[in-house]
Amino acid sequence: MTEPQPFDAVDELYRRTFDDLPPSPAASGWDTPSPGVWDNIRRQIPHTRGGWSVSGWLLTGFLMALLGMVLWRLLPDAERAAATPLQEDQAVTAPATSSAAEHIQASVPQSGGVSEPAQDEPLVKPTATKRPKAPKAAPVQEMTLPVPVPPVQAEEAIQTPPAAPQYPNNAERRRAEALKKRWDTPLQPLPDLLEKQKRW
Amino acid sequence: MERWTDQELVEGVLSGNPTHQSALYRQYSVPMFRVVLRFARDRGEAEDMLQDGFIRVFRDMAQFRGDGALGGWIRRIMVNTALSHLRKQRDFLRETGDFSPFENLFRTDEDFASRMDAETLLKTLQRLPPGYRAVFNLYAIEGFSHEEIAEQLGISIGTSKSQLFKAREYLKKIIDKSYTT
Repeated sequence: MTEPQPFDAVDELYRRTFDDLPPSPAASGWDTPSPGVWDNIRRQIPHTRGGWSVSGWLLTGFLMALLGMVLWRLLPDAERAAATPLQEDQAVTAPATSSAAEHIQASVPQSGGVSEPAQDEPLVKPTATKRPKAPKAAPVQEMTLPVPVPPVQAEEAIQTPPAAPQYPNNAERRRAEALKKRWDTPLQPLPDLLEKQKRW
Repeated sequence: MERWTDQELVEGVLSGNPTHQSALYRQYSVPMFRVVLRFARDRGEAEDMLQDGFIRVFRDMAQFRGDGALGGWIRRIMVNTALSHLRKQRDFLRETGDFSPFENLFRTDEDFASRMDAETLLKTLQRLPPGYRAVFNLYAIEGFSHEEIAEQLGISIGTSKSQLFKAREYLKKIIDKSYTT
């Protein structure tokens, strides 16, 4: 008769039993929690929503409308902001033209009071054109070149013919030259009129 | 059932993805329920522990560094949650000298011998007073030392040792009985 082996290692029995359990739940269901546990957990944890609710759509629509209104109001401001560099260009060129005009006006009265502002105007006009990307220094240099006439040589400057008007547009210049050339050529009498004069 | 990696589960839970949250629960609910069942006196208390434990898992997921396995981290949270449940009980460390934990559990010795499985061992364990049960679980199954148990439960080391001794005596009595028959 074999002596029954007393199970001294109670710790080992429990540890081995619970560690060697299969990963799948028991068929009796003793180790499976009831479905209500997950329902309670799910209600208490933060999670992102899978779909779009009505309030989500309304909020999105409101935000889109608000964004549209903001853009609508900002659009003219953006145009004004785009026009601001033009004003800067004018601000830069304007003093240059005024100084050039001052130079001309300062030099002309000393030469005997002859002034031709009409001929000087085209010099200023190109600077007034609104070209946003035009180089700032170029028109100023063009205008200042004829200006620095020393006051001592003022009489010579009067005798010299006034500079031809510089048209900003080549097409305009060509049209003006063509008109001028056309008027220079004398008109030819019509042949019918000559014959009538001979008869009479 | 689709099996997710720990990294996928952690990233999904951190982003608040309900699919990953549900997958994490499905993947770990059964092994963690087995853990808390050993600390609880019945199934209802174990489900409360499991629910609170998983809420802590989802809430503190950002603290998981990925040094070890996700299952080990979740298990530690479950054990701590179970202990905090036990600490709330007024008679947690009550010294019970004359309780009969196994009465009416098995009708006959044959019945006991044929059902010597995890479920049976769990039932014997759940008959123990909460203090005995907690100390035995922590020492014998979770591998805690008496110092760690004393710190976790807020008791002295001597109390931890005495509670373990008494728990073993009760459990051994019923197991020896099954082998002598």
